[in-house]
Amino acid sequence: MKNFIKLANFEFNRMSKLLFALMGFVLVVQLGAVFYETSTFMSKFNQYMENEQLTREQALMNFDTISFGAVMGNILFFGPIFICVGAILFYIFLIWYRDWLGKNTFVYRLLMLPTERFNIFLSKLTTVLMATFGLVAFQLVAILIERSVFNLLIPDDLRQEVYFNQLMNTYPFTRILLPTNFDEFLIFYGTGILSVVVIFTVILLERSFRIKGIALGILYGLAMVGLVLSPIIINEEWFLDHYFYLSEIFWIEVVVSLIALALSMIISRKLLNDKVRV
Amino acid sequence: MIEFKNVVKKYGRKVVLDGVNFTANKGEITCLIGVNGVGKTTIMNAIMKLTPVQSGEILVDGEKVTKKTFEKVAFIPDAATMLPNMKIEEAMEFMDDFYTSWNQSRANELLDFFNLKKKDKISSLSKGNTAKVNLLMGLALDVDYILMDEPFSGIDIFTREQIAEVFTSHLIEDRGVIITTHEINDIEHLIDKAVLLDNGTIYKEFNTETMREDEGKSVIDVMREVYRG
Repeated sequence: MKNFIKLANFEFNRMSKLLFALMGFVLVVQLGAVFYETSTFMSKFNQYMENEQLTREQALMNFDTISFGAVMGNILFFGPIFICVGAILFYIFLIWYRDWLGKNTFVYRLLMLPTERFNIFLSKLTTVLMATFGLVAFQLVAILIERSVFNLLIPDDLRQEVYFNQLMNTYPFTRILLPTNFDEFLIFYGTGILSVVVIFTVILLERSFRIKGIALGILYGLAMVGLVLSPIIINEEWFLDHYFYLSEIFWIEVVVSLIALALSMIISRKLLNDKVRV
Repeated sequence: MIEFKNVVKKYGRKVVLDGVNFTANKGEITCLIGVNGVGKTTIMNAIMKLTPVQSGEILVDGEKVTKKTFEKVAFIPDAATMLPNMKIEEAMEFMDDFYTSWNQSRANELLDFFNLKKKDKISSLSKGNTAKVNLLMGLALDVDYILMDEPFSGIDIFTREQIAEVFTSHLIEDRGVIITTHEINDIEHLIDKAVLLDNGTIYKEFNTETMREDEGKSVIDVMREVYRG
């Protein structure tokens, strides 16, 4: 346990610079979205007043107010989120391959540590999850900061107040950031964690059997997707004809996913102990 | 004692180790000799479970290799095993964190011996100094066995001399050493046992002292006989 914590801390420190750089990038670019949307809106409003020769009160009657949702629809807002998702996806591979590739083959050291090799797997998994949750948490804080800036730039009477929860429900990608209930959390983040574990297993298959391992990895990945989707598929008309209720399917999915998770971890442990190559 | 019992290792269809048997004793320097690709590095990797073997048994002091073995055997590969952005002192801290057998006073002694500066970044070191850092990481562990893979390859003459000096110093003491090398000249006078490999098998295994006394042959003489003719 002590070695796992040490390794996880070590792995996290290795990625912390990248993580903080991503956080900085998100905040700066999203603030750019705030400034862009607010200045465009304000200039449109001023233009409207000028063109129509209206007083401010008259213009307000016919001019639509703006909410923070407009900022969230700007590419400068959701672009960084997608870049972060891409960075995490890339890091899931990088976190393993960088130890093998390059002049300094750190994998020798990792595999020769006098600790359970599975701790390496767990520490890398923990790092990816901490980075993901770290970015999600930071995004939520960033939205609060950006909304405060937005509120400063748009006068009250031109602004439409939207509750935070409503805001987060506006777009599918923000709904994933902040699930509205525990079921959604399990679906979004459970699937995410399972996917990372399965990808790690595929990587270890490749690192153990190289070219053959790529084929094995693809087959394994497909088998896991098939396993996880199987309860939904067999509940369709052509087989069980919706015999199970949606809530029952949900819990069957939870069990099947746990089986897939455990299986992947057992295989990864075996690969790390007996099959992996430097 | 490190024992190889009928070890077979294949990469696909290629047989790299074909029933390898040999032993390396504590307190002795055993040298694995052979041209490139005969399986010297594979033997080292197999001892440390860095590559799986298809059959046979590898034992360290009569026991199979487990995580505990890594406190007993240190492997010094010919590639740098620490992160390039680490300073030498950070690499030492890392070792201290994970190995109970890490001996910091010996590490400091090695720093002086090799004229290394602990504030230096590993990525900024020359090839010779990187090899020295590698040696430091292995030799500063209080282990019974040290495996060294080509410690002299691509290194200047003075560094080679310095590394060869390690073998006669108390830094090796009564530990068991398995070393692979092409540059047999550097250490011929130091090795106790030679293991000649060819095509994944042990061609000849002999005690260098006995060979000198009984047959008047040096390791290089035996190598000439075996590989040339």
